[in-house]
Amino acid sequence: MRNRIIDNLADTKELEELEKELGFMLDEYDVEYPSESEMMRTINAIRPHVPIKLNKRKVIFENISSIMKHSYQEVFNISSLFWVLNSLFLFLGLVAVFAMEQSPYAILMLFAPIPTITGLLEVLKSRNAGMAELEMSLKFSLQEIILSKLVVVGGFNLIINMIFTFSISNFYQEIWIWKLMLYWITPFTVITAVSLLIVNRIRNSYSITAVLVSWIGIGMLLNQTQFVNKIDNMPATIFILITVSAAGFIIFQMKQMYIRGLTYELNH
Amino acid sequence: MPEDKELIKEILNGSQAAMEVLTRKYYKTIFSFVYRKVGNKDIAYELTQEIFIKIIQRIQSYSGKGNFNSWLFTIAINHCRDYWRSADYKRTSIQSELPETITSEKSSVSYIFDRKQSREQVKWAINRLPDYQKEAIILKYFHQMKIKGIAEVTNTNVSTVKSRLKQGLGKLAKLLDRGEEDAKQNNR
Amino acid sequence: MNLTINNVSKNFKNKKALNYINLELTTGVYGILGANGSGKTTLMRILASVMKPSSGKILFNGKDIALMDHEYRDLIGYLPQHVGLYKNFTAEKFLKYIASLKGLSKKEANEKVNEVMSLVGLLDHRKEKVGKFSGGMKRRVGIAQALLNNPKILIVDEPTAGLDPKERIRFRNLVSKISADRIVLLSTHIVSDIEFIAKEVLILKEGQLIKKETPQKLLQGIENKVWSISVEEKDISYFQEHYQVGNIMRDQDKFELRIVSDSKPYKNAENVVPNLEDLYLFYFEEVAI
Repeated sequence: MRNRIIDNLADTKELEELEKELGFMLDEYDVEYPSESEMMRTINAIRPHVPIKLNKRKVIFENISSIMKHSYQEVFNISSLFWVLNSLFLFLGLVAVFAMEQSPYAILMLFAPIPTITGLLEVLKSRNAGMAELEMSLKFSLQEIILSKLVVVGGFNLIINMIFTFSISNFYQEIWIWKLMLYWITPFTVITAVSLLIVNRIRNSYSITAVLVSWIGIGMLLNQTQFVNKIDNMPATIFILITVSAAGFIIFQMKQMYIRGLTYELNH
Repeated sequence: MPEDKELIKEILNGSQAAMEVLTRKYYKTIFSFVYRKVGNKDIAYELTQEIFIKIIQRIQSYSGKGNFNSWLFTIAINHCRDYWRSADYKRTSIQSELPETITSEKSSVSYIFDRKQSREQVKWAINRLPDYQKEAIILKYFHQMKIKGIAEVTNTNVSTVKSRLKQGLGKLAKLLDRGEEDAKQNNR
Repeated sequence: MNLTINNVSKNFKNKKALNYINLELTTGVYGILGANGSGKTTLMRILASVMKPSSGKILFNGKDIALMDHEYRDLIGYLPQHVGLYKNFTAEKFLKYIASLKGLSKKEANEKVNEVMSLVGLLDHRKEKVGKFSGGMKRRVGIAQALLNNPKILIVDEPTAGLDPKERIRFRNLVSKISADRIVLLSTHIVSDIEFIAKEVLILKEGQLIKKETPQKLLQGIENKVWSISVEEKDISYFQEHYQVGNIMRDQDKFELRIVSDSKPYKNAENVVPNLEDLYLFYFEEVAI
């Protein structure tokens, strides 16, 4: 009987009837939608395609200056343990060079990224203290807070390394200052890049301890071997290449973090 | 819709948030269309993502005159058609379609009275329709589009849409009918 | 001022936490009542903008809050259900820090911190570390930080959980004191928290909004459905099996049961005036705390 109806189909009215007849069947065809996190993945994939307006430069400048301003605030909120511990590291480093006559290049290379690694504990404090959810609701967003803290930690690291560099070069006339700089800037940028990755992805305080321990461990081990000599023979361009790519990665990560925000576990 | 226009303006100004709002607003609509068209969740997910990327890439070319919903569907339909022609489809379809038709015709047809199976039944039947007919039926039935609207987004005229609908629905009725009769016989 | 919740849903991996919520909020206190897993916290997180809805949107005075971004966050004060605070900070330092994150200038922050500390009665403890505070005092610090930016929308999730009765009363008074000219959302599963201060009670169950009424209206709805009955100890279990039994009170050698039931449970049962706890029992079929 239905076949007859099909044969006689002539106008819209009948089309509608057929549709009505099939309607209850079609209703069965529901859709399994993707999960929230899959949808989020799509949204993140679209982000790079959102047009960028030229006057964004002004916005970027404003954002950076607000982060800098806040960094100043954060200086007073970082726990004293951080300052003490890193001053101690600086002191140990200087002792190693002056009293134990270790190679200043190797020591500086080993000590250069340590403040940043220890500083990550401060950076991730919001989460460890159970403050992340609250801070996400504040006007100054969580990613801005974390970036501010990173600026403080990174800035402090730079200052410590400068002090180290200049105090050594003042006493050792034969030290080549550019080489010394190269030796700490490279591990510093690389470790900072790794740190950012941790902040963005893993966010686990144990991972920081792991990075710290393995960095010191590997460093000590290599100090005993011929590795230092090998490094000495490496051309400066390799150092510079590594530094530049790590720096590029840092900038990229920071930008991502700022734009995308941090997807904390709340959203899953 | 004035609201969509506002969102588009914000997106053109570089607002990520507006993009997110717009995407979330239309995600389900587009996904459900693509899903019913391709009949596979993973492929539908990928295609939907590509479609939204295209939408944002081309957002400045949306004049604001026509219906935004239609504009979205035009992009979605064309993208699906491109996919259809692509090597990607030909590769995956060989893998997935063969076993599916075998099982569908032989076994699941006989469970037409089972509510759970009837969804698979409809899915199977829709997937057997020629592309253009499938498209028209999905838009008409699941997205409540008018025939004129379907003609607009599929880039054809009203009478073509009508005949696609007629043929498609007719075929669908036959396919489902045959399934029912098979099932009746099997039940005896 | 209004906050409109428009068709908001939230899906987690395999669970629908919120299912098409529609709501319109204006100034006043709203009590959100619901059992664990009813979607209370999810709704509050979405309103506090720390979570995004899977679909639907929220409008503040007609503007989408997702687009308002920090402009919206500037309008809200939020106290999450679980909040850690920085234990090594003194109460004052903590509040000043949060004030700076809320964009207050140093001068504004100094004034405001003083003001909120006296409001929550912590002025005498300003120099003490928050890590040493009792649960109730920590909660007060939490409320204080939420008020720093003079929020138009105040969102507090389960603020009274774990507080002793005295602290709870204190908290209730505090909320009614600060509720003028704001939208206050307060979730709880302790009904007495909101009985007298809420303009309206929202009842959430399994991700759905099932009621939005004034407390009086809600109580009218269960009038003649709350019974008091005096039974022997041995009969208690019978009633617990067949009826929703709330309070059980010893009355000399007998027991007084409070029962929520459409029909009279027993011949000597007497109608009593319903309270919000009966209401909770009525909707959630479990005993309220």
